[in-house]
Amino acid sequence: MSKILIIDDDVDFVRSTQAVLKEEAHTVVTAHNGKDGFREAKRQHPDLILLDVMMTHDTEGFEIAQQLNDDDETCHLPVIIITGIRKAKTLPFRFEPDEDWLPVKAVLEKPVAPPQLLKAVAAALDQSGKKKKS
Amino acid sequence: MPRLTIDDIPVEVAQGTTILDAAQKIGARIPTLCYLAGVQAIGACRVCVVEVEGAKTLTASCVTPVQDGMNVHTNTRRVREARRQVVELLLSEHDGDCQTCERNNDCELQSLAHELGIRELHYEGKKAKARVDSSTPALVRDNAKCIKCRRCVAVCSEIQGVGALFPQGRGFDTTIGPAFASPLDEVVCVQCGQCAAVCPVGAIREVGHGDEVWKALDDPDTTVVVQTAPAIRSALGECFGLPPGTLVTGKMAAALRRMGFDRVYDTNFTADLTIIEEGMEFLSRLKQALAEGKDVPLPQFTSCCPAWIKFAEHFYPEWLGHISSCKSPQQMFGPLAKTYLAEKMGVPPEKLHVVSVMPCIAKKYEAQRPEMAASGMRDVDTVLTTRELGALIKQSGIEFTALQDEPMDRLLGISSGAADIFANTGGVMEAALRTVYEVVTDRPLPVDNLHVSPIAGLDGIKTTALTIHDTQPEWAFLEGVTVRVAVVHGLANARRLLDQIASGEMEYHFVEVMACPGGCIGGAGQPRLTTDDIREKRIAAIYREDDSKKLRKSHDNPKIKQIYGEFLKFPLGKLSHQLLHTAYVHRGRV
Repeated sequence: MSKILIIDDDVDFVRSTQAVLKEEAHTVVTAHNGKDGFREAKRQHPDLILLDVMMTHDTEGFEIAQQLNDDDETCHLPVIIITGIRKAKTLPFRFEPDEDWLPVKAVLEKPVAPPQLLKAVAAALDQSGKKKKS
Repeated sequence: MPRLTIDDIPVEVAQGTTILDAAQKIGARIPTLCYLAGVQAIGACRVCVVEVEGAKTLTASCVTPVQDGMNVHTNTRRVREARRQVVELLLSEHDGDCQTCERNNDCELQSLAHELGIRELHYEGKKAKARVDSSTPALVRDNAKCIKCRRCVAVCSEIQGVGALFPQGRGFDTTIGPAFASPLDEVVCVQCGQCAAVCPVGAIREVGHGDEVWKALDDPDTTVVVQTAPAIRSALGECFGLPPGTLVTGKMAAALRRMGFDRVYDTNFTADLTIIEEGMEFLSRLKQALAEGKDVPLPQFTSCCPAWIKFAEHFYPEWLGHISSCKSPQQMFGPLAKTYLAEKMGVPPEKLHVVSVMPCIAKKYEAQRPEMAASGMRDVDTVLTTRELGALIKQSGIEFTALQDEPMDRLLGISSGAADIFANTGGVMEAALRTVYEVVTDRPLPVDNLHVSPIAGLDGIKTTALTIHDTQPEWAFLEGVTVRVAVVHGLANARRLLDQIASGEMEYHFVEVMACPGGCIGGAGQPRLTTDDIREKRIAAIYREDDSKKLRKSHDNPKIKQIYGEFLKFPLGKLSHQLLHTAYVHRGRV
């Protein structure tokens, strides 16, 4: 059982994801914009963060991922980006984790099927758990 | 097939072959001056004269076809003396300040004088009056150095279909230049610089930016970054005696660092960016036309070549709406350097000097177009040709060929093979197809090794068609659609194609135009003299560079994803339009 922070301005997405995660006995905390999400990450010390990209402009997910990585209190927290940006903005590419600028464990595309979500969550938690032990 | 002897060696060649070409077959090199393979053979300069048994006078070999039974002598005393006399007469009226001439050691007249053993001048002729025309940003003309060979006239009218230069007057008073002795900026000159590329002497040359670059490099308060165009890496080695087609990407990066550039970046990066923006613009036009029934301008034309843009602005203003609004890779790099990069480096943009190294002379003109200041200042400060960079490296005392390879700096220096092939005719189109097809189908372009062979090579007008199947749901309107593309190089070919499209004879969705023969690898700023053989070697080298890369498609470039993720947000977005797109100007014919 882990504590997972969802940062996303889409209330329906947050609600359904929360339900899927609770089924797996995870505790879920939520925030609806980047600023609040960053604050909650520092306050709640979650085991994993699920992060949207397109929220309000000044708290866009890519920036929050970098802020989390730059902050001593949150830099160890694993982050999964879950975004619909590719289809919404007709991007000709898929974003991927990148050590230079996108310090996250995975990038998933909305809509994400529950099994795919849980698999990515388990992998990220597992990886960070192993990292902690080592 | 006619049989003849040349220098007593029997030879058999096809009917119509000139004596000059036949002599090459037996390894006899006849010197030439006004002759330019594939462009001009007029027998005007008489340097290529040979002795044909039975002929009363010496014969110009570049314009004389062989005849059966001919006995030709290419190196008799009479021939040698005649050639020497011809060149001495040219030198008698030539403004021969060789030591300070930009063409010193790169001058065909100087080389001929040396080759013919001219050690003293027997004629003191009247010198032509110097009339320097520096009216344009890219080219300088100096009539006192002109030897009236007419190569520039032929290339401007025959290859580029522009016709800005003419011979005027007679005899000694003949001048070559724009009509009525107008300055170049008052006539339709597209600044392609092919005249300077073929000029055998220093009569037409690029405006040099070397001193400005040194000034920036020497200023401790200025941060100097450099971008190098895709075509440089296959030709710069020629400045240092390496064979055409030698790839020197790593040595070039090392040399630029030693010269003092603070960051060494790659125009290839913004070539990848161009593909994203231009590819999505193309798909957007297709969507509007095919799915929404809108009257949107198609075909879309590429916009990387500033000489093509100026050509269209003068001759085909009704087509300007068809030209992609994307800036060229050079001009995408400039504003990104002075915004995104300056911020990352923590340098005030006004203290950042952006140098381009281009295979092109028109890029000097492009960088000075008034609209190329999207960053709030001049986006690209100075533009060096490949030749100028070669000279600057020599001035630095760098032993170029001994340098160890170094990589480009990462942020604006990582690129895909799709960006490399921007250098070749057909390359921009192939790069665009690699991305566009994959966006629409989620599958790689279904051609051998991602190469679209019908649009490669040196044919003047090349076309191909691609039928799209099994599209992604959002691109369903393209299901079964056959996308037709065309590629032209040489503006005279562009003119032919445009006329075919305008008449309804041909129909295309996307057209690539490059002004210089062969594309940018044959650019006017490349080491002289570019022949088709050299073009093919440079083209092959560029494809080798592409094939050697893991990244072959622009949309796979991780730094492209980064710049969208961190800065631009998405293609054709607000910031893209502000920094990476432009508009064109109706210029008229005069």
